[in-house]
Amino acid sequence: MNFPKLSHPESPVTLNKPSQISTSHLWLVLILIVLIALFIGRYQLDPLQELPDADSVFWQLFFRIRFPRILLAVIAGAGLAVSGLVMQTIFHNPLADAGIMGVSQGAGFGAALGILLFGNQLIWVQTSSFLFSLIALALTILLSSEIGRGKILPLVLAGIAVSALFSSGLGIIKYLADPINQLPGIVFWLLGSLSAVNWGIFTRSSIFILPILVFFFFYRWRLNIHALDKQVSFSLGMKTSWETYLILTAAVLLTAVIISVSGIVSWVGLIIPNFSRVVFGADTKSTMINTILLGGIFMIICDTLARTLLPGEIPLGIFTALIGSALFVFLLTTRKIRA
Amino acid sequence: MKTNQGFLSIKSLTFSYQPQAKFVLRNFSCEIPLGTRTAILGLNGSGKSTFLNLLLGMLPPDSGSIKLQDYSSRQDLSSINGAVGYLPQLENIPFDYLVHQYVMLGRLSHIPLFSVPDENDQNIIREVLDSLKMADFYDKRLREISGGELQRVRLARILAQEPEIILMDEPATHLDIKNKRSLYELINDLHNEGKTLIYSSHDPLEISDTSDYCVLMSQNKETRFVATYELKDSDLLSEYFETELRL
Repeated sequence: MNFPKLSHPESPVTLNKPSQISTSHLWLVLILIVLIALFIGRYQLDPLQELPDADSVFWQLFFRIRFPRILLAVIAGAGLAVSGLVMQTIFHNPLADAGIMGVSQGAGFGAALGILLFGNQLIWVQTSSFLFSLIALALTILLSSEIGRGKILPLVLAGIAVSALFSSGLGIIKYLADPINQLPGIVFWLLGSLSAVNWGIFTRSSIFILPILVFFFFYRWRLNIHALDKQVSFSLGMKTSWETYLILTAAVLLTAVIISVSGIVSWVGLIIPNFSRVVFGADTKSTMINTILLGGIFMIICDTLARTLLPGEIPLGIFTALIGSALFVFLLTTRKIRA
Repeated sequence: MKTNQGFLSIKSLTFSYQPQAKFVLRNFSCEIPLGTRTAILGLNGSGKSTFLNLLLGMLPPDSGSIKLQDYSSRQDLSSINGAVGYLPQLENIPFDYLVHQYVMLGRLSHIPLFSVPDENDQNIIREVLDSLKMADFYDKRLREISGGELQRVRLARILAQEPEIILMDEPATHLDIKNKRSLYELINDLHNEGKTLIYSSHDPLEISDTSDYCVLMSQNKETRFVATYELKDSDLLSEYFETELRL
């Protein structure tokens, strides 16, 4: 069959604009940034000098601390961004992220409770944070099914209620916490940081994060269907709501695992998918992989700033919010995102 | 013109929203031959959208069945994946898709889980856009095109689905006179290609040339299935629309 050669070129995927950025560029940038990040920090490697001995402090630091931290930054950034993309698609709203289901507040409450009860035992703080984010998710889903089964708006309403519940709980814990020993820990956690990451933490969290990322990568085209009205997606063949609930849970779980390790890192899930849609278009078939890569790149940049800008560690959430909101304002004022 | 053997068989369909509430449909039966155009007529609130939702399978009937019957088989319409294409009156599309990306979503029932559209799907999208004279729109953004063009793009999404039956919920309501005419032309074109079309309308004066059958609905009357020509010089329309009306 002959198709008229009109505006559509041979390549199956055409971008909204003749954008010059492609996925392979993003891979390149990601690899470059990982390499740069590996070699800057408190112990820098001078490229003009010979490599230090194998058991020197530099290599110890490099392999035991900096390497897992940077790897985790990549997958955590990717995970938060993908989670945001999925939530925005399901909720038909470019401003949604996993926080809409109450998980962020749940995680914050859990971590604060962990600090109050277990002090500096990181594993318990993380476990408590993870558990409470799941409890928040379960509460949101239960409550929403009381309001109206199989619909999206009740989820939002239930999420608001559950968030408020846990943030008041968090307020109580902050009020009760020892202002010298515990409160700074809680505040630091709430601002997010990857400073405690080691191989153990990396392994524990990547067991969850990587399979979910792979799942969403293969699900990338079908995710589009969730952006359509219920009747339309039903007519197209997506007849049950369990599939929506499944991917919703996977996306929220992804965020829950990440913030139980990193603390509340805001704005990544919001800004990266929006930026990605502006550059690569609305079709999640192409946006998914680019969201993964951009999320990783964004997180490494923020985390590298957090650990190198000052002699002491700066909370990661400060940079993600700062750069994220600047990017958001840029996209809004240049009409890349339409209000 | 392609002739279709078989029909959509609706048997004793009964539905009400609540157990004690008034029936929207009671014991309604009809056989709609495939390849025909059927208009669902009635005032606002007479149950047209409910009937479409029953056909779509979104609402389960209290009793009765909707089956697709051809010479070899007879099965529930709702059990055939992607058998019903649906054009809602208004459709919220939250992200700014390109026309071809949006039309591709119609292929869902043909694309395996964890897979992406292939060459064949791309070709079908081009054929469909071509057949609707929309080839120029392939790369346009949905937010750049007009309401009438968007209507065509949404129909392209349904054609890409290759459904047995196309349902349209008041497709003419939000269109101006020019786009209304081109919609009815399109309905006739699709009819000539052998498609089965069922659409609702609250304006019976518009449908006489674009329907073979009519389903008449009213809050106070039993639903009736008639051939459109039977409406000529009859009092039926006046009865169902509660005002003096003749074709």
